[in-house]
Amino acid sequence: MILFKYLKSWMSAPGFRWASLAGMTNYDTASKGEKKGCIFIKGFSVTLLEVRQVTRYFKGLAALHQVDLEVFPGEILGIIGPNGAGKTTLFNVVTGFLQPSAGKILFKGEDITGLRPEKIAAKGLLRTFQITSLYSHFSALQNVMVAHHLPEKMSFWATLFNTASYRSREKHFWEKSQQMLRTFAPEIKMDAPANSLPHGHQQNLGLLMPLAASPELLMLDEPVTGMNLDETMAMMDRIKRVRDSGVTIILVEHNMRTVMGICDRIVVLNYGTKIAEGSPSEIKGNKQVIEAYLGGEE
Amino acid sequence: MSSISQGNWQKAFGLVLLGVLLIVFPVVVPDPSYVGMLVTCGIASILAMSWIMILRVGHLSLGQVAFLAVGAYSSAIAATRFGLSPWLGLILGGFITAVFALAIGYVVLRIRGLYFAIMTFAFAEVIRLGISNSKFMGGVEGISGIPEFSPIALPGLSIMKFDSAVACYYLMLLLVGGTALVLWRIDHSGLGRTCRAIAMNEDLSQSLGVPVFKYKLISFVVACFFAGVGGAFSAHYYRCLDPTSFTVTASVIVQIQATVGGAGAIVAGGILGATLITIVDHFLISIDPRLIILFMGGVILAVTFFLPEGVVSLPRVLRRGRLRVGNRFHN
Repeated sequence: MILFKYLKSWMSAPGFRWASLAGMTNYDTASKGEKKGCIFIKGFSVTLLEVRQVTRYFKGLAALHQVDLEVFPGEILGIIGPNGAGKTTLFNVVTGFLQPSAGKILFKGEDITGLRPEKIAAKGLLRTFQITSLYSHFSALQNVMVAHHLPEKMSFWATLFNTASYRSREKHFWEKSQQMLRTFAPEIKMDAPANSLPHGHQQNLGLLMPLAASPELLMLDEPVTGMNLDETMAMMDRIKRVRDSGVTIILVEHNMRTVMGICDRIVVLNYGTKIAEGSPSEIKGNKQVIEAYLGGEE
Repeated sequence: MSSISQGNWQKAFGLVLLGVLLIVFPVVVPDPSYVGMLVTCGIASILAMSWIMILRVGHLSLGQVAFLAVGAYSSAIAATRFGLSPWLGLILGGFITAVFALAIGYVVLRIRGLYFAIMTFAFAEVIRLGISNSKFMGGVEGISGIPEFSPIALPGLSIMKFDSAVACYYLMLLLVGGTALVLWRIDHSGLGRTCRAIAMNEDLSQSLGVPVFKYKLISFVVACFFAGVGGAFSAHYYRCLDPTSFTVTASVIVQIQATVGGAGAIVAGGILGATLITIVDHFLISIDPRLIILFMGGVILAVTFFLPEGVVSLPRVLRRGRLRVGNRFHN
């Protein structure tokens, strides 16, 4: 089994290509030409995430059809589209919860297509869920503790024998979790069960948890659903602060006003295909987008 | 803060008192039938604890008794055919069961929800039928004449023989204590917290980078290891084995015991539930065996309605002063 595991990890290793066995070199990260808002450094693009020709079928129905997407470090990219446009499917495919039927996903130049979600998370690509997803019977503090799983890395035997290193580590992350809650979300009651918190607090907690794993790219699936205007503004502010701390963000959102206000760049999906891409002002004036949202004139 | 430490003192005092009571029990009540009943409670407790351990990661095992069988048969065969010491058999039973669990878990733990229960159910039946049809393992007649634990010389005391229920009773206390200690330690550590988290929300755990499958496998293998040790102990205690004691009914009883005790607490719930049910069974069977079925049905109804968190939650419920029917719907 160990041998099998070794073989598997070797085959899925970042540099591995069958072609490389034959002595060929494959420069996957080489640029394909000038693109808007993209910086090129001599044959090497600084794309953080690249979705290449990704297609996903559900029983013959294409939920995603040859979608291309590039995300650059430090930006907030918005993904919008009418209901059923494939936004959430795209999220699930990128984060490993669904396998693409075709196409490739590169994160930091590394092929992550078909990896398990936890492996992708370990590489620094974290996500949130559309419906606020928490450990509902845990307290807020316990929620953040679990979210520290990636940096914590406990050994089974150290845990079992309750060694000094295990105890100090556990204490360190306990204090760190408290610190995080105090600085980012002081309004949340730490000891209350997560499902007893008000909706807005739950969503703040949901945003806080992936941050504990110190992501490079954070994908937010409709972070302001069910929020009133004040809460929405506060959430947007929070997201901006997260970006300013060095985390790149992809945002799926329904609410056009929030998307226009916060995003540097917007991608529009409709029926599983990308119909437009550009700055918020470009998108606002795009005829295809207006048609997709309001219906075309016959 | 003071109230918390006071509570801890009370708990520690209670545990010590319980320990002393358990140790002097065979001296005060030398009746071998009562001591034997408690040994049965011990085996059931180990099994119930291991069942809850698997429930921790969100999986309902319908064939827990199969792992007891694997442990029991490996140790019994090793002792009767190859002359292995029962003491080594105890460890061997645990390890063979763990290897079995690793192989089975590697496949079935990828399956979520109800299908896992069906798979474990099927697996348990395969094991039982396999044993019944194998001459090597004694077939339907089973294995008899399994040697008892060989005597050991205790320092400062005389030589301890394991030909009586009392001696086995002390060994059983040690085994249950060891199992309880390890499982309690895991449950109250970061590992246990992550396991509970996985059961609560598997997708969220994956998205936070938790290797869900690995955690499930660890819990499964550890739980089954102890079930195997318990099985090996039971083989050398009863000194005979036959496949009829490893039917699905036995697995379901494990589930009832754990639920009645309270699946929210690995150690307290498992031991309490297994002990209570086994003792009541013991007395009912002398009146009329049919009463057991009636009792099982009644107790399940009563517990799910009035004590959805099991008997362990009884002190909390009493302190609150009233029963809340259907408390689980508030979750």
